[in-house]
Amino acid sequence: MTLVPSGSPFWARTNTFDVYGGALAKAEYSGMPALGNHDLGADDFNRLAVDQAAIGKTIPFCVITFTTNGATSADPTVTYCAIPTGLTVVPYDGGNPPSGMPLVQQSATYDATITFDSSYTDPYGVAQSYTPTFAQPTINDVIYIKSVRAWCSGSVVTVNMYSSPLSDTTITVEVF
Amino acid sequence: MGATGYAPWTKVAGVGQYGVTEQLADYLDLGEPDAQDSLSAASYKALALATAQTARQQAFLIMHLTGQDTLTIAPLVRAWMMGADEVSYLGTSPPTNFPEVTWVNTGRYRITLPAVSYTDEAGVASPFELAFLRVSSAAPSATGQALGYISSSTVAVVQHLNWQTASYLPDESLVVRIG
Repeated sequence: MTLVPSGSPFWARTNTFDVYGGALAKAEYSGMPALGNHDLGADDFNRLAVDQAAIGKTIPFCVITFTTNGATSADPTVTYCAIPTGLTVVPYDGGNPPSGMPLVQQSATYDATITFDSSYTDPYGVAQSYTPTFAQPTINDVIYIKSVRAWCSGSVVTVNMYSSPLSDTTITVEVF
Repeated sequence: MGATGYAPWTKVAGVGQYGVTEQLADYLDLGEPDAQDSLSAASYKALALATAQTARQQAFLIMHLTGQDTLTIAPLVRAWMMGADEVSYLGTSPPTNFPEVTWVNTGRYRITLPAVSYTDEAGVASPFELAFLRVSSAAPSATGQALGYISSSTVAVVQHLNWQTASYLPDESLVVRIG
């Protein structure tokens, strides 16, 4: 029997602790205390469920690091990308991503874009739509004249850097 | 029944509050149960540790602020907070438990958390104290630079300025993460 979990993948940001098995009315079996080292207390499990639900509200959907390639429109090279459905530490051409990984392109002299799919499917086979909402970029550099910002529109996150063009600059972006 | 320990925003989570001890073992020490209809102590220990480790690092609150500086009024806020669903509001009219965000001057806003303790889904109240602040620019202004500082355990100030001229930028957007 294949059992599909209740609730939604976390990036729906709607799961409450009952999705993870917690319940205010949860009690020990037959009212007996938890059995020493061979059992879990209902209140202990509730804590796990509450914490996991809370984490799911504010954890990033994606953490990605890429390096731009020259001042031209060449695609950046992605060196790290973690999303709920996968992780890669093997560098890839941002314009030709592995299956499931976001597309990263240099759209203008100062801009790079990260494009996500409109839906992702978790390991249990549950599909959940996704639209990036917030993004926080950081330049991995010590050149003081560079500053960076990011904003979301539809399925695309735009990362803008100033005052230098996006040439050979490494940026980490957390996307929510 | 409520829950043991404290909510994750206290950042003190350890496996102990999830019922894990070094001695936690499978029922009657019979060894690994059938994973299809039971849960092993080893699996539960791994799950508890992963949750504890991630809980300590997570933001309590994420907000997207859009300034309304030309009107000299509070920013518009879109926010996620642990234990709550996404909300949007005018900064000076926050929903219960969400912070008030007030206009200080152009491009500068004060974030005030309404309480020093919050109650989680299991009804357990746990203290929150501002420990980290991350702010970034979300505006297509090529000169925007976001900065911020923690003013007290419940107050943070963020600002958006032109890094070339140091003048504040009006009506632009910031992303703020508080933990």
